[in-house]
Amino acid sequence: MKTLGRILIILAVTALVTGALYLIVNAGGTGTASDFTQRGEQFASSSDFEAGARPEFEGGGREPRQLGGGWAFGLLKNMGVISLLVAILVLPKGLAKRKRLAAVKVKADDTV
Amino acid sequence: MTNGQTQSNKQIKNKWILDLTIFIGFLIAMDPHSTGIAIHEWLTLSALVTIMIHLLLNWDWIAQVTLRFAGRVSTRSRLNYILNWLLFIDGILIMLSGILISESVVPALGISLPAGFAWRRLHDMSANIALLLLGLHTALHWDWIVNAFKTFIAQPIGRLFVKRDERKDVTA
Repeated sequence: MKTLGRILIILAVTALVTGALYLIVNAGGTGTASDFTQRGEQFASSSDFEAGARPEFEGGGREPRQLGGGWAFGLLKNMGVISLLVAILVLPKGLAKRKRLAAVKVKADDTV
Repeated sequence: MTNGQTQSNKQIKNKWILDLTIFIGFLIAMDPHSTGIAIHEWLTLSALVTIMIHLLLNWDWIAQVTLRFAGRVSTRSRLNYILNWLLFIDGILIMLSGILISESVVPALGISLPAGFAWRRLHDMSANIALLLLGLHTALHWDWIVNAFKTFIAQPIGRLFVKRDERKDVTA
């Protein structure tokens, strides 16, 4: 029962955020193609969408395409981005901790 | 080890396995060029269940920080809480925009949604933001991840080798 209540809370919050985001994006007037065409971007003709095709930007969009590194290039790139972020944030903390421990050790040695 | 500690260790192990699954799933889902659109869409849709379990497993922390956010909470927890909310909102934006530009899941359900260029762009943008937020989320929990790895992977493997060495000594 407790878990069910929690699930309902999560779903309610998700629904609220989803509704808010949908309203914000559409109220911003960016939900339609007109905003992009005003900026000079070119898409396929509107007749393509009537036939059920999804909108794509020039240069491929979501269709599978060959990238420089081949299969799993994107996966490795994303892994690299996360590793870099973790290294930037975690390594300085670890070094500072080591320095602090070394300083404490030196103090302890001095007192002996 | 007491029963309570065993339970706690079990919970930590489950959390760690689930988080690892979400992390790997996210990395695979973030590369639709390799997997293809169908796998990309069905995988992210199934990720909703794992994220729901992730939230339920961490419910106590979420409830505690929500109640005490304006009061006595460490800066780290506050930062973590804000980051988690950003990740949650960004995740919803990815899902919403993904559903609206869906080429596999939504058509398979027989639903036709209006096409919007902005959603396509928002989907890419929110996915890139999610990658950065996930990196920060991982960095903030790095100590926990490493400790869990040591406890549930490195130490049991190490113990296996120790046992083998002991057996060799006995037979020799």
